[in-house]
Amino acid sequence: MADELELVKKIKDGSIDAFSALVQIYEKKAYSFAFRMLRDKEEAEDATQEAFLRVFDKIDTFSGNSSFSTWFFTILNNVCLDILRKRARRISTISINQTKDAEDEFELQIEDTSPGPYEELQKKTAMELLEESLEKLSLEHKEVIILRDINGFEYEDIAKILGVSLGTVKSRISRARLTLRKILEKNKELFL
Amino acid sequence: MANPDCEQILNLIPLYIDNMLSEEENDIVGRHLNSCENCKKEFEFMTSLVKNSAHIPEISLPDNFHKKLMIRAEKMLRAKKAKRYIMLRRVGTGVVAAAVLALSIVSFSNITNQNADTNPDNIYINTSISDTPISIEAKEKVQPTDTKKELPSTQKTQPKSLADEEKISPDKEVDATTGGAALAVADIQDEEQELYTVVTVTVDDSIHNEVLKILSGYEKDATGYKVPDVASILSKLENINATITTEKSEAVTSNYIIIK
Repeated sequence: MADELELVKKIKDGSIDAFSALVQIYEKKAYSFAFRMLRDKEEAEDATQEAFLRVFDKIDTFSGNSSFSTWFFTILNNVCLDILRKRARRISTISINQTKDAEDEFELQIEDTSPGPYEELQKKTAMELLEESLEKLSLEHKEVIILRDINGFEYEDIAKILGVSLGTVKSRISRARLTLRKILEKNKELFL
Repeated sequence: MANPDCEQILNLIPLYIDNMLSEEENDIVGRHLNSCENCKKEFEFMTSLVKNSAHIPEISLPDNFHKKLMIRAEKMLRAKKAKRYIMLRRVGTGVVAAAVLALSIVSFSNITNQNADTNPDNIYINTSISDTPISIEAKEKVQPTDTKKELPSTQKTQPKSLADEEKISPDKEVDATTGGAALAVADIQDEEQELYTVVTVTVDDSIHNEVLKILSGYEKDATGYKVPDVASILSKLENINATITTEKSEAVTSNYIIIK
């Protein structure tokens, strides 16, 4: 976006007001992303602030080859992953649920597509069910759904953010959507 | 894919929604959906999930998120500028010191050449050279930061006694034997940067109002409360059992109390 590029230019010239304006554009999306990844308010706040400060510190390294949002979410995603890795290291000796799969080394839960105890008792809205189902996804599936379906990033940009190939992105989105479908199958009528 | 079954089509629907299949696969799925009611319903279901995801509400920001971030950003900016300033000063001091040395050598060789000359002016020159230390002293009082007027305004504030002194501009011509030397000495003196105290007070509801009372009357800016006499404030805060962390910083221009 032209406005964003103008703000980036001003930030490079040292304008803190321009930085504030850019933060206002992204702060809600960024915090939502971090919270959905980390499921902890304090850590999500720390991660989001850290990502913004890294942007501010390293703004001169943004060359404009990708969009600012792609660059920013790359940083934000990396900050979240760092926190998740630290978390996994902290509890790896006591957790019995941690998977050792090379791809999901810091994943702490296996996808559970069965309904939870309250889902059968309470009537929930489609949106509530969708949000809950998102939480049941594995980390890499959650990542791509948040980036693609919630934030609207293109597949190529998602590949850049995650540092994987386009083929991997396609594969993950495909499996993630099929998993969501399986989780929500019993409540299909709410979505049709 | 000849006569794909519904299972195969189901696995292709996620990417079909985003038009991310090959042209051939796209056609196959499209034709199948036109003829299979079950798969059509699956397509509609998954499409609805994708569309609803786009409307999942954003999560509310924590209180004061933006303010806290901007305080940290301003600190970072000040620290960066302070570092740059110190680097420039070191380079500048080196350059000026070298220039002074070179000028001194040139002046000295002028003196030795003119010693044999009976021109009274040359005697005066000798005197003016020997007066150089006095000239330096007088010029010391000039605000050194103004020699770097291109630097931002968050420079350390000079002591008030220097405030009204004439400022040296880097663009002004300075006397080669005195102004340049004065600049070097003033620069060297100013190398000793003063550190300010930044006190972070972590408050909960029980003491928040007390803390605000203690700090009422002090100037507040984006960083926090400017408190010149931080020691007396610290003892008041300790009396109400506030949780305090103290650090020294050259990235700020005053003593500060920050409420967290």
